[in-house]
Amino acid sequence: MTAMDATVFIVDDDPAVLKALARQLHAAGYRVATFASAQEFLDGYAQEHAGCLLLDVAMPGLDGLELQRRLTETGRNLPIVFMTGHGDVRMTVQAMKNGAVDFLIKPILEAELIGVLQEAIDRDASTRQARSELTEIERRIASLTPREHEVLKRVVAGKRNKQIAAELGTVEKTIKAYRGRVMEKMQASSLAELVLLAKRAGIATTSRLNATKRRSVRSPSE
Amino acid sequence: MLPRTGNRTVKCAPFAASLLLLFGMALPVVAEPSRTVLIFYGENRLHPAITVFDENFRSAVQEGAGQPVEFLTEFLDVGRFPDDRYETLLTDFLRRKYLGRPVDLIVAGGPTALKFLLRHREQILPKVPIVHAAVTSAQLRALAPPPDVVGMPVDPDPVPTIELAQRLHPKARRLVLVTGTSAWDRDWERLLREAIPRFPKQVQVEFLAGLPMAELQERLRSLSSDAIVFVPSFFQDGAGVSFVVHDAVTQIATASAVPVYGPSGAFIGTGMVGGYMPTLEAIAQQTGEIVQRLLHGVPPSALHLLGVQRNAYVVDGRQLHRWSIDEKALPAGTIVQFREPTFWETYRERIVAAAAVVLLQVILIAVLLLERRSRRQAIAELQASKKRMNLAANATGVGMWVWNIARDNIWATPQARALYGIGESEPIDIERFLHALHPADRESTKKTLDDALATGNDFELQYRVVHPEGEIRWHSARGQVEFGESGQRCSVVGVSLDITGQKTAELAAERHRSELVHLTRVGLVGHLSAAIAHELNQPLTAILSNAQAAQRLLRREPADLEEVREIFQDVIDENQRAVEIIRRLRSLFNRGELQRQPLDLSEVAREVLTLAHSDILTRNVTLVAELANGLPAVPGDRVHLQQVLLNLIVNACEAMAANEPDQRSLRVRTENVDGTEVRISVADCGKGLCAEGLGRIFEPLFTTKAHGMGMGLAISRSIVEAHGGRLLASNDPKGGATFEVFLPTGEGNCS
Repeated sequence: MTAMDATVFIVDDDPAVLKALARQLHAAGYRVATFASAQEFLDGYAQEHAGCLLLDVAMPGLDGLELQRRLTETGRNLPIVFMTGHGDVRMTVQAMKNGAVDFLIKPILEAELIGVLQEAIDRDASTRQARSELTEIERRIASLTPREHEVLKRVVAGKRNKQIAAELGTVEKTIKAYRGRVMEKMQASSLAELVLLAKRAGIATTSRLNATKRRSVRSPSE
Repeated sequence: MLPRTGNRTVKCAPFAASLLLLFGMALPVVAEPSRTVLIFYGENRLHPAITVFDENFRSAVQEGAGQPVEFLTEFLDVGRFPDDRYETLLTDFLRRKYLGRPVDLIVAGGPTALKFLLRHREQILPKVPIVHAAVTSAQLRALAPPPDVVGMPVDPDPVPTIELAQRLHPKARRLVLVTGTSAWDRDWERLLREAIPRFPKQVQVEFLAGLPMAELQERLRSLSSDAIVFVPSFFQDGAGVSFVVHDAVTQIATASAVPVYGPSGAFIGTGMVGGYMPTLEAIAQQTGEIVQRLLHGVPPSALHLLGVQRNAYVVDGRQLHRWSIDEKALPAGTIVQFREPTFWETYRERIVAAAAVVLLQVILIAVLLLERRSRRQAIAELQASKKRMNLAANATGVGMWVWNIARDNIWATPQARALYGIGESEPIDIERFLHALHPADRESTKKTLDDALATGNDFELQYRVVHPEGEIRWHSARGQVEFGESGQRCSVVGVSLDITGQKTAELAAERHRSELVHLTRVGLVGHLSAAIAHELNQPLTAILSNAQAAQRLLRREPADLEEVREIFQDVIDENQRAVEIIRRLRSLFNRGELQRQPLDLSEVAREVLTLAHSDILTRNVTLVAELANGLPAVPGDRVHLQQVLLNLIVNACEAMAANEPDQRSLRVRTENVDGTEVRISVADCGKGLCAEGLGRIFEPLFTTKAHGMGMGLAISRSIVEAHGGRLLASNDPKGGATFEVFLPTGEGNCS
């Protein structure tokens, strides 16, 4: 299912190799797009295209490692499978450190090539899934009014309604109403779920320590 | 984007699991939680004062904390990177680093860290209380921290420090005050100017304020001996360069010709003598106590911190020693750090041993004197002395000998006879001596001896000795010619020493060096092979991918034969490309990329033999070089021709590896062939080339060696042919192979 709308992007400066690889992968049932240079790919590739990149390391001009770096810089994290004519340990280490899926030595046997590409495509699919969930949470947070956002921040930081009311200069009842709207807009069915959503969106949430500490400090007055 | 409802169902499964985790863990926690204290230092982690403070602070907090405390540490190093960009990057980094990581308390170790934190705490760890340490009251006033920043300030009054300096250097008449240009440095300058009336009256006060570091050091270097220096802080110099204070004070104390004093414990160890200051240990202890109270839940506002850190006199013991300061002059209760152990404490064992040796010698001398008195005869004494000499010679392995020239008779100590492998009663003349040497060294040794006799000079030489069992040892010998009364040469006396161990090490070192040179030379071939391998890989990749694609296409029903046909055409094209690459390699040396210059081939051969000298020596190969003088010049590429020759010589040596050492003879000859050609030949005594070898030896990838690449001779021939010459191989009827290089002379013959 994941391979359905996935494309294998191939970048190699050798036209014969590029053509042969494209032909082979096409025969094996993949959707294929070819690029004769790293620059061409950099200019033509947009983040929304799913799949993986089969990339030659040694190329004139922009080389494979540099392309990997630029893609990361511009936030386009397509999984990369590198190819090289000879096993250069330093390059391999660098590429793997920067998150490459694998490093294949040319000429490449089909079983190995397809196994690695499939792994890369699966990896891409799961990152995309996670990313779209995060986008959805961020969309919900963006739908909050500034006031609701303030309440959200304080609720997930473990503060009580009374305390929030005091901080925002209003009464507890109003905060309760805000809190209800926040839960609704965030589509959270419980406080715990709300905290989890906020945490994934990078909002500071309560920690066990702070919660315990606060309880012990406040308990006599309550 | 997914529809709303769909999205919820997608998310629910992982959420439910996480929910369980969250409740399962967050609610029942009642056990004592661990507390986290984050310590910031303005400097980097190698700062010695930080090590002292950090260690004492941690143990002070842990003592009676009653719960586990986790310490995190950040070293800001802002003194070395004073620019805004770094500060922004650092802030952002710290903010991300501590996102979601609860911190109960921040400790600012020093004013630099506090300044940074007051500016950026809200971004990094909002609302977390700060405890500061080692910050002066004046610095605190300037920084004006909010109420949740607490700590016990230090109050370094300069007057007691200066009084201490005056007390330890009663002859001092000048007090030199050094200050920098940062805001804090200027505060100090102002404070010092205000305090002048309280300084001892005997000293005249001078300021070295706001100088660039280099000039300041120069001024300190030229201070007269009646001066003392006081430096309170130094964050920035007159040229606007920022300093880590510890480093600045180190530079100041190093440059200064007179003792330096200062009011901070962090300066102990920089070369400064000392001062009146709170010790780092005390600051750490005090700060640790404050942190403990805050961790126990006392709000910062409820801490009533009055007063300042208690000061004490602290000095560096090594500096006392350096400036010859009497410890008795120190005020009572002075803390001496780095106290130097006394001579006795350090060397007790050696002193005892030395005394014992002296005592023993005295006894020995006394015994010897007694013995000598009892035996007065001169002969007996001579014998004893000879005995002692032998003893010494035996102990050091030195053999002694005297050569009576007139009688051609050599007297040698038993040690010397053993060294040369000559029997105890066997008479020795010069022939017998030379016979004991390695045949290759006899000629040169004889020549050195003759020269010494002719000139009358002392001599020193090294040669190999072959023992009767065949073992070869290296000797070093020194000799002296002795003259008779009428000035004739009557004898040569000398000593010999076995230096085989040392020589072996030298040879090994030379071999390494030469291997390195050799590797660099053959590196060209290696480099080339890698490039070829890479180039060949491309067509091979295309061929493999095409073939695998064809396999798949042929499996389909119906097979797309048109495409398969195209694939085969591509496979043929790629194969042609691979062939082309190999052809290009062959012609690589024929393309006229040579750097030609007129060469004397004897000269080229000499250079190569120098390069290969160690190789030849360690392989026990005897070299016979017959290099003709005045050869006609050959236009050629020096490096390439050297490579050819080196290759032939190394091959020749390897071909003789299986021979007995005395059967390893290498002959290198250069000669003029009727003025149009120069011939270089390299001949070995190996087992020669087999019939197949003679025909194919210059083909690429043909090799007779176990680890050979089979490229050396192919490339060699390409190089020679590029010079318009010929490289030939033949077998010598007497055994062994000969390689001959013919190179044309003169521009006209050169292609």
